[in-house]
Amino acid sequence: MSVKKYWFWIVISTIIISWFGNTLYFKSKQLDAPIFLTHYINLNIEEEVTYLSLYYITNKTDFTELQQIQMEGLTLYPQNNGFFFMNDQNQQQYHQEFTHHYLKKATFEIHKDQFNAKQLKDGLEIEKIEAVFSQSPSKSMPVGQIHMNPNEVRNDLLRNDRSSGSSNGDFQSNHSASEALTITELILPFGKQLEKEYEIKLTHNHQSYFAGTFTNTTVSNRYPVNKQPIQMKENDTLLTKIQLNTKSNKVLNIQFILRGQSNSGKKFQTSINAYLEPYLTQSDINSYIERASEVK
Amino acid sequence: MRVAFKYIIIGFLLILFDIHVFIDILPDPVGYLMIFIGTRKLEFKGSSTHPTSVVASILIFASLPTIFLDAQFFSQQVSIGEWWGIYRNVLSLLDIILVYFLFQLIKDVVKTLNSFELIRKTEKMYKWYMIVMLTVLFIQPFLLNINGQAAIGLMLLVVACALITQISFIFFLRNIQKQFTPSSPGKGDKFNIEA
Repeated sequence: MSVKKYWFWIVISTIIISWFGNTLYFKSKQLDAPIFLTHYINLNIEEEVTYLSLYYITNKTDFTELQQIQMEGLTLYPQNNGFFFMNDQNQQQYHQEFTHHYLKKATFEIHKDQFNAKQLKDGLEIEKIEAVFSQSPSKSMPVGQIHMNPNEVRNDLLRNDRSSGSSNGDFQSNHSASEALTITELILPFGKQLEKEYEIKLTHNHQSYFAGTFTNTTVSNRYPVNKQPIQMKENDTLLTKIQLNTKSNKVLNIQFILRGQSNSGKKFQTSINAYLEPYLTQSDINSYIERASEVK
Repeated sequence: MRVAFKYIIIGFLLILFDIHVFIDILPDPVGYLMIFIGTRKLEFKGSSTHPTSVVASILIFASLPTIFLDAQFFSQQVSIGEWWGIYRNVLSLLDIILVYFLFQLIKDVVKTLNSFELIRKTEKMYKWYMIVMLTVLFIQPFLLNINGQAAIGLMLLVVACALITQISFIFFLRNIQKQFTPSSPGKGDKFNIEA
């Protein structure tokens, strides 16, 4: 009898220790404040509405939502997820689930009239935003780099005939020249910082031009386009292939810009967009959290 | 004796099932009160208060908040760590301690029936209940720290095991109750006649 009694209380103590241990471990994994992923966003201010999506990491049990952001004088509220009737308080909307955290997504609609004249003319460059999360005061937080460029004047010199993209991060587009022209510049998004996250290949007349170091293309194949202009005759097509790094821990919504001029002297600029929803691993999340705690 | 078991069985049923219509209409404190009354009736005449009734009386008061708080409320709390999380866990610990003591009492009662079969059954039920419920309590906090999908699967398994065990425990009590005929107060005269 006494042995059994002894056994029972030992088990009860073990359970209590297990509770303490798990609680401490759980607490150690909790974030003091949500963390934004590192975004590399490069988009044009659209004629009517520009959409901007931001991703952030929160504790699973906090029920924290991004309520409002402020940047460069713009005050933005995230769009409702649309589930008005299903808006159960116990149900959190999230992009990805991890052991202790959710990766959530907030999408903002920015109407053209929200931008001031200077922003419309010069664009915006944002690295930090003032973010308000549920039940917490506004806090300045790094978000990576968001560039919103002035709406480009479209002209049909280099026509976009066809574009396609997939969630695997590969994008293809065909452009054709409406008259003889020369592409003199390929502007890569965010310069060297992002080199490893994409590869772009322009093909014209069986000649290819590469940029980016994501795939294993050998260096000798690389041909910086801005050193060797691409000459296109009328009705020539240019095939563009972009591959984004699907394993990237960054949010990629980037833009490649082709610039040049026609043989008759007209200038043109065309942008090619590539966008990838982030799909992170637990270790990506851990490294974000580690980095955030180092900053403090 | 039948009456004593009746109280205990109704008590466990009230605790097992929660129906919330604004408040829990099958309130746990009433369940613990029934168990308390039942246990008092089981206790040996003249012997000092059995720990079962002590734990039951603590639980009558300790479980009062559960009348107003439903499972949804608890699921919103971090299951442990927050005050209400700690509260719920202490409650489930007290609950298993209650059953542990109750088994000691039932074992003594069953001995008086002089049925080897029943003693064996009781021992089996006791072991099964303790192994399953203690394992469930031990596993529960780990659910906090394992990944979503696995946690949901494990939680369903844990809930199913706990539910089956608790229901079979109630059937077991009913089975013991049947051993006593309504008229007879039990086979030993050392029990309270009124039971």
